Amino acid sequence: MSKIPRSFRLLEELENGEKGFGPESCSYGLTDADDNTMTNWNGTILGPPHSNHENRIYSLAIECGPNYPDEPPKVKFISKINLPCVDQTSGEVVAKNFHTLRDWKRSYTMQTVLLDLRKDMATATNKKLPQPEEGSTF
Amino acid sequence: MRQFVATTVTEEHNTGDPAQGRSAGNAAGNTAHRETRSEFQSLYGALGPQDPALVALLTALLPESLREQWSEKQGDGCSQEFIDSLPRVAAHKLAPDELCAVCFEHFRDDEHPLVVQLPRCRHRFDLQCIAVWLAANRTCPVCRDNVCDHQDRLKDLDTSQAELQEDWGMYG
Amino acid sequence: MASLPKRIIKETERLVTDPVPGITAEPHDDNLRYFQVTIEGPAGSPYEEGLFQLELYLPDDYPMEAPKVRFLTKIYHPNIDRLGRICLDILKTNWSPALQIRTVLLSVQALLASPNPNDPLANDVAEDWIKNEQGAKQTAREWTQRYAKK
Repeated sequence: MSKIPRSFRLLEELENGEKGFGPESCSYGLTDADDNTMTNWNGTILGPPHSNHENRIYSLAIECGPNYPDEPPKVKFISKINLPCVDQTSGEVVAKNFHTLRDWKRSYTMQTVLLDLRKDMATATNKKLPQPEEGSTF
Repeated sequence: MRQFVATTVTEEHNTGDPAQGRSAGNAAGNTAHRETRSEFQSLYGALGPQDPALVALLTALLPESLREQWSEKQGDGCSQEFIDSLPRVAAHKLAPDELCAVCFEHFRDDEHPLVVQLPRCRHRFDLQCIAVWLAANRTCPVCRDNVCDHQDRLKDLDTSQAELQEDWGMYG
Repeated sequence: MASLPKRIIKETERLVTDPVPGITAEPHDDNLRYFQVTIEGPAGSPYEEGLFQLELYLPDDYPMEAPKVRFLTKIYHPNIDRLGRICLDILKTNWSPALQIRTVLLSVQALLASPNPNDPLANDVAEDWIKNEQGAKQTAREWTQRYAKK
């Protein structure tokens, strides 16, 4: 299995995102359609049902650095959220507290990150956490 | 999985109008189903080349119609039957400098070359190379002739003739 | 890394020993399927005197699947978008395993010589090209000067 270079991998992710092939519960796209380094992305997660996140839409900023996907992206919530893996002042997803970033694999994508964050919101302990007012931002 | 359970619970607790309850339950079920399906789909796509055993397992679980729909190549290749029926070219008929346009190897470099010729355009390839291409495509790599146009005609050949050709291919 | 198919080794060697005029392609040391490419703008085109950087990757299924190619240098062209993606049939539906790195890069060079605004990837550029060809070509020359100067 050869290593697909960063740019072609990101183009694949972009195309999958544009085609909307992924689940409807999350989406992502380039922040600046002119940025041919494809570094900055924005993502959204639709709060999982049967949780305090139900019907909320969370926006996130994702930064795919020069060593992506060998190294995980930096992920930051823009919408305020109360979640153990999220730094409560900056909104950053703290890698050491979030398994997908901590145990990063090259095959993981931005979609993996968003879906796993959504799963994290729905765990038995996290789904009942009190949440900040809807629409507030970090 | 969790979502399926949730759906069932909704249905069980729906003691009101049964018809209405059922349709609401179904709608939720469809959404959950769609979600699972698309997760499944993305996994199926993403894991593809990395874990053949897992993919084989997943593939076995998929209905055939979805397999076709999801696999990148839309399954518009030639049939295995057609590929198997391609006439072999005997080694002594190959020129010393003749090469396969797919792998760029000289046929004669192989002590026992297994070379086939496409029916109309007569372009020659290693069977191993052209079989992979034609399994997902219908064109000759060299001239883009639509190879499978002949598929039907080949089928129409009377069987004894076809069998004869096949035997020649095997032993010729 | 899995061993490199013989065909890729052959192609790489030939690109070095018998290079295509106006085109260079060199594999990265740490990924022999990943090439750094330069293409000179064809004479007589708005890209003349420009040197364009591209990247090319041979996916696992190559040659059953087409190489992936992208412009790194910004270019004003109706069939090349802002991310450097190229709209060229042989890279998509018209790929054939008898094609190779050099023929692909020659086709990209030919695309620079004859843009096809009727089959656009960059719609705004194509519109400009159809409405005001002289103006569009002037813009393309300016971008070549600005971003692709040798």
